[in-house]
Order: sequence, then C-alpha cells, then structure tokens
Amino acid sequence: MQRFWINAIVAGALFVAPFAAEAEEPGIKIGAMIALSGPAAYLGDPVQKSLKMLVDNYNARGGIAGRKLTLVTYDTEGNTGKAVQLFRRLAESDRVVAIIGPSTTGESLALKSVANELKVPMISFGAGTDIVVPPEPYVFKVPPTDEVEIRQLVVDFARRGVKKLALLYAASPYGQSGATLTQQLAPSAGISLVAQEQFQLLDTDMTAQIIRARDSGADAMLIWATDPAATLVVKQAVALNFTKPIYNSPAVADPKFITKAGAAADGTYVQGSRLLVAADLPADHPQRPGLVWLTDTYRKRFNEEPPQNAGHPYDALLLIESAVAGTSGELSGEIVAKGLSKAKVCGANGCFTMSDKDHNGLSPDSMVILKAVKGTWKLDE
Amino acid sequence: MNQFLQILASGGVLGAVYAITALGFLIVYNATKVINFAHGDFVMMGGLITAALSSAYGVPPLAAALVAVAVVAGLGVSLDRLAIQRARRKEHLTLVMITIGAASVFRGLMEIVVGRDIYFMDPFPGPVRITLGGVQIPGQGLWVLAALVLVAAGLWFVFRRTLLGKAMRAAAGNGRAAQLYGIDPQLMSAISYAMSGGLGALAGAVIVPLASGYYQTGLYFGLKGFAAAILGGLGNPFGAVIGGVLIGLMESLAAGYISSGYKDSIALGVLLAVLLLRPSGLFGSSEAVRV
Repeated sequence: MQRFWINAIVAGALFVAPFAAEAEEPGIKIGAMIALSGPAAYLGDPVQKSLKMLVDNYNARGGIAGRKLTLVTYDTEGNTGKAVQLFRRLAESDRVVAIIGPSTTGESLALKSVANELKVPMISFGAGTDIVVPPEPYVFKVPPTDEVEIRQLVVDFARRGVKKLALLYAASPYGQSGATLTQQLAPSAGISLVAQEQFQLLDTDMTAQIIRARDSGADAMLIWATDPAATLVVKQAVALNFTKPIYNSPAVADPKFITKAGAAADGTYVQGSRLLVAADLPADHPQRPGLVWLTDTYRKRFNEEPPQNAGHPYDALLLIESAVAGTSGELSGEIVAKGLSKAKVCGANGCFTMSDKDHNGLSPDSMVILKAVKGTWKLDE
Repeated sequence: MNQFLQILASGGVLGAVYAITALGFLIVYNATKVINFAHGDFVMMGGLITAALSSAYGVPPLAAALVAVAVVAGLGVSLDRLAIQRARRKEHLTLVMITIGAASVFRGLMEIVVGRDIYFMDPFPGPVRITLGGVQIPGQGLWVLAALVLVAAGLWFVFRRTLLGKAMRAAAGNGRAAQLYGIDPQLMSAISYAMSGGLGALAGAVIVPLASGYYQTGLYFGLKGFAAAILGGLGNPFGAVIGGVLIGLMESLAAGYISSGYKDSIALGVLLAVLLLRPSGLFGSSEAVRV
C-alpha cells in the first residue's frame, strides 16, 4: 500500500515538473554539424570552439532573442554519407529548428535536398557557390560564395598587373568549384590561364605540377585547395624556386597556416575576411566592434589566435537571432527559414543582406587581400 | 628534359622511402613468414610522432626522429609479445588477422594520444636544397637517400656478418633446430619486430618534413611498401630496394605526365602486369615445396 502511494507521488511530480519550468519563452534548439575528425578537422575545430564560446555568451545574457539556447553538436568527420545521416537525426530525433554547418562544400551540396525535404534550415560553412545558386528555401551560407571571392581576386589581379596566371587546384569539390569559376571569370579581366594543374588533396608530391607552372611564364600563382595539399604546394613551390607572387585561397586564411608552411609562407598572399586584421580596421568600420570583441574573447579563452572560420558561427548565430527576433511561442524550421531570408546583420564575414534570391547576402567588398609579413597576416592595400 | 629529370629526382626520393618501408616489412616476413599489415602504421607513427614532437613541442627534428624510432620499435615488440606470441593458434591466417587488428589499434592510439591534426615540420638540419644540373633536390631528399644507404648497408652487415644476424636467420629457417643450438626463437622474433618497427618509423620520419604527419596514412604506406616488396620478389632485400625505387619512379612519372589522380592505379597496375609475367617478382626465386 505504502509502495503504491510513493509511486503515485513520484509519477505525479514527474508529470507536473515540465509544465512548472515553462514560465518564459520556449527555448530554441539548434543543431551543429562540424567536421571534428578526418582531413577537414582543422576547419572544424575552431568552429566548434567558437560556437561553444558564443552559446555560453548568449545564454549568460538571457539567451537568443530572450530564448534559452540549446546546442546539439555532431561530428561529421567531413564525410558526406555521415553528414546526411546526422542531419536526419538532428531534424527528426533531436527536433532542432536550425542547423549550423556543415564544414565543407562537398557535404553541403549533398544536404541541400535533405534540408528542403525535412524543412529545417541549414546555415552552411562551405564555400562552393553551388550551395546557394540556385537558392533553395532551406539552404543558407555564411562564408562568401567562391564566385564572390574569385570575382574580387580577379579584379585584384588585374589591378596588380597580373596578365598570366598559373592555377593549381585540388581535385575536391572545393577546388574544382574554384577552378571552374577562375576559368570563367579571368578572361573578362584580361587574364589568361597559362597553366592549370590539378592534384589530389592527400598527395604528398606536387613537383610536376609546380614545375609546369613555373615554366609557363606566369606572373602569379593561385592555389585553390584545403590542407594538407594547400600547405605542401606553397612549401614545394618555394623549394622549387617559384619566385612570382603566390596567392592562397581563403580556406587557409588562418594564422596557423603561416606556422605550418614556415618560411615559405612569408610574402605570400591570402584572400580572407577582416577577422584576421580586426585590430587594424579603422575605428568607424561597421564590422570593427564585433570583430574586436570576437577575436579578443576567443584569444583569451582558448589561448590561440582565431582563424578566419572562427567568425562563421558568430555570423550564423547573428543571423538566427535576427530571424527569431520578435517571434513568440514555439519555433519551427519554417519560421526560422522565413526569418533567415530577410536577415540583415553585420558579422565577421561582412555585412549580410539576405533575400529570397540571395541566401548568402555578401558582396565582393566583404573580402580583403592579406599578405604574410613576418609571421602574421597584414592588410595589403 | 629538365622537367623529366626533376620528376625522376622526386620519384627517386619517394621510392627510397618505399624501399626502406619494404625492407622493414621483409625483416618480419623473413623471420616469421608473417605478413605484417600493421607495418604501414609503423611508418605513419614514425612520421606523426616526429612531426608532432617537432612542431608542437619544439623538439629538434633529429632528436624527435630518434624518439619516434625508439617508441615505434617498442610498439613493434609489444605487438609481438602481447599479440602474436600469445595467439593460441599460430597459423599464418590467424597471425595476419591479428596484425590487421593491430593496425587499427595503432591508428586509434595515435588518434587519441597525438590527435587528429595534420602536422607539418621543418626539414632536418642541412642545406635547404641543392641544384644538380638544373634539378632541385630538397635537402631532406638527401637525408632520405642517406637513410636508405645506411639501412641497406646496416642490414646487410647485421644479417651476413654478425652472430645475431646468423641466429635470426637460423631461427627463421628452423625454429626447433635453432633452439637446440641455444637460440631463443621468441627473442629473435621480438628483435625482428623491434627492427621492423624501427625501420618503418625511420622511413616515416625522413619523409614527414616533405609531406605531413596524419594518423590515417598507415594504409597508404603499408600498401606501397607491400607492393614494393612483392615487386622485387617477396623475401629478397635487394629486390625490395629495387621494387621500392621503381614504384616511386612510376608514381612520379604517372603523376607528372598523365594525371596525379591515376598515379596509384598506374603504379599498382604495373605491379600486376609484372606479377602476371613473373609471379615470383623481379628477383624472387620460385619455391618448390614438398607436400
């Protein structure tokens, strides 16, 4: 008899408890899909750190637009098949209303149709233009599209008098996307591609490709790849006596790149966002306050310099905040997606103006060219 | 012509690494007739530990390489003592399966202890590069070639001129008979694994300044070393060296003149073709086994 009453009281308490907690706005549950292991892990690690730091920060100030923020993170290992599995898990079993990530172009492309099918918006950190062109209702992107990036690069090359370009790119979705765009956009600026060499991401020896680039008479080299190939090409190019300017892709816009590539990186250029030179920005630049706060907080908490992609979660959360501001009650993927396609915020990658036709929202002036000078990246005018 | 020579030079350096890998692989094979599928992971660990110590802890490159060789030699002995010797059934298939499992264990060990990052490091001390007739050879490439020469000479000396080498060959030939002469086959086995681990690590350590250290490259190196050993004739050290250099050259030529995406298939395709024409490899002898 006593047993029965104890069970009844406990059951009753458990039944009542959830309702007792629901006093203010319902919280917001977000998923994150990051490459934490595998070859893309160097991209995912700072993203995870930055995301954790930002979520703690938001919750300490009362949440995002007044809603407590819950984050569920999964490691995709940079693997497309896993990414699709994990997306479904986040949408169907964890019931998140938005998903931040994934880290690479390849994974993002595979997830486009899944996001639309499950009606959960995805804010990708991949670079490929194809992720948001043509725009899909549930697919958004934070880093500038590689089309915007290459457009800015080509304009910059023309300005510096580069007439003949050697393009070395990886046989990955990222590399090939960049290569196709360079082939399309360079001629219109009067630049001819005198060498186009491909290599595999995990190759250790790019001697043949670099020699052909060197002997082609190019005025500059553009490398479009992620690590480890990106670092190796720079090291080997310098070792093989390539003396013309070398431009790295935004995938390696990271202070660690200079450490990894060693002396070979000095004097090379990289296209990146203003995050790497936050302290050098003029006082009235709209991105300065946010970037300085972000880089200082990251540096203090993790004791290392933030790379460019530490800014991506910052932008993703700003976009979500803008999307759910002014809403009340339970959220759903549809509500968040609608809010995202109207968002206007100034973040780490630039000032975003999202619209139904543009789910990236960035313009060419969101990127700058940086030069490695004595071990750090500096703005190159 | 210049381009051709440059491609040959870098293929030669790569080939030297495969040759050292194949030699290490052969030590265990000749001693125990076991094909050690974890050998590629010895190479991976050698490279990864060297690169991690050097870039994350500032250890001078040569010291880091020595530490890596010692650690991996120890891991090789542990593979022998803790896994191979303890196998209840000593059939070849069982022992090979054990080595495949060991490969996963080593990979996981590196993933946890060293991490998932890709590590780059500075080359070993010496000239940054030398130029021979228009061909640039990185200083590290000279270290690789020197390592191959030292390893080949050292192994020849140990196996042909020392008592230890004789004892190892005796234990490999006929364990029981060797025991009757006071040779401990288990000790010989442990020494073979230690040497194999050390050589694998050396191969990894000398190439890592030119490439990068990453915990998932074990399978890649193992495959190349195995292919090199087979191409040269399984069991023949001279063949292993030639096989390694040939595979390195073929890869480099394929990457240079055809496409780097096909370099592995071309190199291994040539291996297949050779085996079809000469099943015992280039320098192997056909064995007659009494049934």
